[in-house]
Amino acid sequence: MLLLAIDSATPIAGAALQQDGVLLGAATMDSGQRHSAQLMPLVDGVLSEGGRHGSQLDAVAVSVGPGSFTGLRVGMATAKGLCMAFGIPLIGVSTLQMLAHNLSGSPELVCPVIYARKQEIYAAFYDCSGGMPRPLSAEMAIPPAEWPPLAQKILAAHRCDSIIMPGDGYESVMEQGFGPEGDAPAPGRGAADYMALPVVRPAAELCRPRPAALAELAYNKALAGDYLDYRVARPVYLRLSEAEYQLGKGEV
Amino acid sequence: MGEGIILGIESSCDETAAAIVAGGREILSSVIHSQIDIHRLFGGVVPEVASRKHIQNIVPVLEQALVEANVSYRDIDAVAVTNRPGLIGALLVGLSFAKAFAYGLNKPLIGVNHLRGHIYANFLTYPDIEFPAVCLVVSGGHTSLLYMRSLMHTELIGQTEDDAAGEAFDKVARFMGLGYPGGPRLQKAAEQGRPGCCHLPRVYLDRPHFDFSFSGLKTATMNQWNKMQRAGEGSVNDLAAEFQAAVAEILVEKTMRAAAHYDVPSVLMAGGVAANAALRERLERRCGEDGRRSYYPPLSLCTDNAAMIAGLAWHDFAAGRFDGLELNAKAFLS
Repeated sequence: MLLLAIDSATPIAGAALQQDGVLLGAATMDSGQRHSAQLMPLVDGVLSEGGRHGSQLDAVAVSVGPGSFTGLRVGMATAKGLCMAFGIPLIGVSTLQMLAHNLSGSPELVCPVIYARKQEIYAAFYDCSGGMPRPLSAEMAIPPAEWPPLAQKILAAHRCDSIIMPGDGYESVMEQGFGPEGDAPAPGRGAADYMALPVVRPAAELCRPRPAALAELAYNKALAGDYLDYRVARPVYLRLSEAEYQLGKGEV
Repeated sequence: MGEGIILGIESSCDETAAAIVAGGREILSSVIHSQIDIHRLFGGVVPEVASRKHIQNIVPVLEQALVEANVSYRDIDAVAVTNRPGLIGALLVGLSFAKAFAYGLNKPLIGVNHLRGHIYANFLTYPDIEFPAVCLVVSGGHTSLLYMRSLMHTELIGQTEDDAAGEAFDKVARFMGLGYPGGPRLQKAAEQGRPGCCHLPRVYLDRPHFDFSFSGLKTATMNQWNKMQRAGEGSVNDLAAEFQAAVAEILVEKTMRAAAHYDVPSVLMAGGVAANAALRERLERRCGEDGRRSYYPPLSLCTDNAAMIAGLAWHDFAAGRFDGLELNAKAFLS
């Protein structure tokens, strides 16, 4: 199975090409706001450097979110265009799970955190000890202040020593968090620190979303026959638009 | 130049649209998925909501366009997409899809200027319009006057300094409780009233340039409405009629002045507000008086659609002007 994986959920965009579970090539760009200009050239690049043609693809995988609303749509619209043109199925993978996969095999608790604007973070807890990340919580959009008590509870329940936090929302939790009663942390101390949580920040490379991880998770989904219908698929936003929120109506 | 079958995709605002047009002329299909019922809840287009609907609807809309045109992927010669100007998040859905789809079909990609697409709606209906021409582009987001030496050589000679005319329609209609979308609702009210109940300003008609301003007129209308509410008299229909008459007079007289200045045989109107009956009637009458020919698209081609995009792109296709995979969207033209 020749699988193309594309991700533009966060400021880092990437693409990977994989054949039967073996990575042929991957590329990322910290492109900030220029995903739409760079994503298709990245796709074209991994295909041509892998010596493959798009018409040989068997499936396309995309990170469905959570993440930047616009970034998620750029990725999914690109994936839909390729799926429709080549007549191949779509596989959706959680952006948080993709980040958790960077810590595959770790016996510790893994909690990827993505910066979500509006003074919130996207987060979920995973058990990565078995290789593939197993969710221990729902995916959440929460204020950083709500994270420490939650982390403490899950940490106790799973008897882990520390929490490894990949993703770009780490600073939001560590520096802008507040204590459980809403009291401000002491100067230079963040919320996690305040609660004496054993948080570990992994190496920078393991903090970034990696399209190779997306491809590997997608391959497992493909083997399980877990596909999305590309005709009607939509990103996982986790949040209403601001206007819908104000109106108190809409679907996430 | 071969026949050239172009697939067009449009998602610059709140319409998800796809169309197949042959030879820049023949509309084989034109599918429009309108989100009007959703945005009515908010009293206007919400960009994030529009973008969310685009990503959900784009494939079914495209499939329907292909089925109605009875063409297969093999028959398509190029993929055209609106990439400027518009709501950036909304544009990016259509553009990202179009780039991937064109790549997958191994067909050329053509990025299209939405405003020039609106102008082209005239040429889909009347291919033999004589140049040079003056064109008024008037919609919810734009109010511009263009001098056209030919289809591909146009010059911006005037534009609004504040609100677009359609925006003024929407805001005034909402203020007077006429509902959404403002244009059609206000026109309906105006048809049951008579202009002249008060005098609203014809902003800039006393100035020699070709620029517009609608925010003063909008405020004057709202003030008048407040005055009527306080006095408990006057008719909403009459005020709507006066407002519509003022907008039509400003737009058409400026356009006729530009037509005289450049001495053009043809005067065109395009964009969503070009669907307004009073505006059409006045333009036709004034062109008749001045000995010029007036053109405006049929109602179905005034509002956002992809046929105008696919039609205009055929001219780029015929000239071999294509875009690369790095094509990006732009919210504004400059």
